[in-house]
Amino acid sequence: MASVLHKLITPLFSGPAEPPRNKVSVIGVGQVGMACAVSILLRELTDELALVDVMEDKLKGEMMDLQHGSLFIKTPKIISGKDYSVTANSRIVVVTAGVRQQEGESRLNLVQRNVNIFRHIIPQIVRYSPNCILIVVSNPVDILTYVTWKLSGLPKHRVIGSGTNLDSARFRYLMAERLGIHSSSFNGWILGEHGDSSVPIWSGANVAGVSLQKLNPDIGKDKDKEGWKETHKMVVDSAYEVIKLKGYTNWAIGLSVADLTESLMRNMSRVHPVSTMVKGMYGISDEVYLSLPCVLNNSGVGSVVNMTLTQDEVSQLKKSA
Amino acid sequence: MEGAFDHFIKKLFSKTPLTGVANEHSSVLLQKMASTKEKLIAHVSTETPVGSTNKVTVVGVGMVGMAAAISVLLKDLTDELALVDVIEDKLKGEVMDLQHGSLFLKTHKIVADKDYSVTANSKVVVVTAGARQQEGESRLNLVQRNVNIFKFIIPNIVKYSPNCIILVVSNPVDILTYVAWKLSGLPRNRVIGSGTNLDSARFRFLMGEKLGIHPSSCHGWVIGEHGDSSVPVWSGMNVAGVSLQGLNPDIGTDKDKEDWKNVHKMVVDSAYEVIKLKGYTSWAIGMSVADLCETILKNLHKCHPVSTLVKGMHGVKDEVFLSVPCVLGNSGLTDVVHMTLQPDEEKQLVKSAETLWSVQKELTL
Repeated sequence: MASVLHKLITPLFSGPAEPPRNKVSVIGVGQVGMACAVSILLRELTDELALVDVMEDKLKGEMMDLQHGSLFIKTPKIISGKDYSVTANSRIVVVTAGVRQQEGESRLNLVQRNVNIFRHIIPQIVRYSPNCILIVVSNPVDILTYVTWKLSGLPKHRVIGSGTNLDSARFRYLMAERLGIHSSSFNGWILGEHGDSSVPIWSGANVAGVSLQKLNPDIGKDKDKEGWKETHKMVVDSAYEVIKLKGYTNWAIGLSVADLTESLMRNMSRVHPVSTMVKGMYGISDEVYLSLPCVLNNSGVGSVVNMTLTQDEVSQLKKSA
Repeated sequence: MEGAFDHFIKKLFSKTPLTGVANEHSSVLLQKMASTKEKLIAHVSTETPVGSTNKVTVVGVGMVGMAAAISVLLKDLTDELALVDVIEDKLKGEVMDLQHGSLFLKTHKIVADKDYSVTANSKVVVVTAGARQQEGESRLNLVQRNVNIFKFIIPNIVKYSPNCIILVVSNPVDILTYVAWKLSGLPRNRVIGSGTNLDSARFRFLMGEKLGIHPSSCHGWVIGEHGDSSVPVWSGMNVAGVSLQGLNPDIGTDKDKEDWKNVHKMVVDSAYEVIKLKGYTSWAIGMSVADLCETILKNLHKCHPVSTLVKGMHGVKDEVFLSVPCVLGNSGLTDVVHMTLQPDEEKQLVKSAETLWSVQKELTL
């Protein structure tokens, strides 16, 4: 008795399935990882999504929940597993795994704990996807991107940290609100270390090419009557504020990671402020990762834009390094 | 750039007694007189700006509400999104998090407040608020608790958006859609329950897995009560118009060798399974809500299985809400597709209706 399947469908081609062309893997299915996953799915960037985590129940539940939405999206294959074999042939791997800072824990201790986790994760990722591009989101992102680069053995242009992509997005949103325009029409860059000592590049802030610094030479300084420096402070504080209010941040970082994924996947060569290896630039002699405007395409970081920075901005970058 | 900056300098020279004195002093005055914003941007419009044209409000910022919100945002459905909840910190945190993603979205205004005035002039209001079932709690008790919450929410929604369409997601959805309809005073075409939209999506996903075809090409409808006693309409299942029941007359029965009936069982169980594994379900329901919002906001006239008043249909005599295929558009639920059901399928609908009515008639509205 032939099954419904056999009666309904006549196969024309019975070879092995083609490998995925735009596969994305997300490591860590916490709030950040899932926000990245949903944003990537709803932006239709991938034909296969793999999720990996150590908590097997949570992992399976998240995968099932996404699969149940299959009717509404254009990603036909969503898989998951504790074993990294599910990530094989990924073009992009987003790493959100890691521990959060405990009460009273030193930053160094947090980093060490996360390094131990990455020692397990990164080699496995590279083993199954030797040609992938790694996007590191886990904090402290600049340090962990460096760690990832070292552990992966990949060339430096294929290891990116989400860096100040989110800080810049928040900056552009807050500045644009003050001016009554959409964030995409306000151009402003925050570079350097993601977090408290990020560097707002006031000389570059502009709308339609009109430099705000030319209109207000005091912009960003303490003596600025309009207090624009406050806007950058709000960017630094905003992460802490959202965490205080709802316990964590996820939507904004998820959207920003999907934005990076789009540039990489679609070979767009757009410029994003992401964390890359900056040794040799701006007089930095250490091997560190900091955010600079990078041209992202399907090979990773194609090139870095050389910004004309003021003395002060350069010294801030060097200080972070 | 010549434009605004030079214009302002000229304007300044023509008004002050310092005419002819070069830049330094004047530019100090300029800074005192015009902010950076004023120097940069010249306001030219004389009209008052029009409000939003397709505003969406989400009531309840739990996992389901936020999944619906992010799905609506990522699908570029609305120019204004409002969030409402009673937990103020969580609410503020969520709206800030979404606002920080503005650069990547096309929804210019994202607002939130405990007060319903923030929801004014919404086209669609998605209600996800409500209590979850406690250990050992009777369904009736859960419903009564949710009725009390709705007694506050629904009139507030209607007060600020008298022409909106209310989309109820909170469970038990069929009963709560009835409650929302009664409390709102809105006509029945404006109060819709998400109903079996999600069950059907899960069914089509599982059907697709079994056949190796994308869910959007697998057609199958699950109707009736959302949950344990939903009704899979086996006669309607098809791919490219080819009826699966025509190929396998036993489909859906106990004697079916391929056990397609299990597909429906998996649909019923899947919600419980996901809840057991990750604590709640969010993504699938969020996406299905966004799907319904799209049809409504874009006036697509698509058919969806959603919960509506079914009194008088398929032998149902009570005033209850159950899911049947409905045509949705920007005035809400305009038409119902009359399915050709088997007698036992209709019997199931009537039985569900009786169960729902027995709960509904005990409620104090």
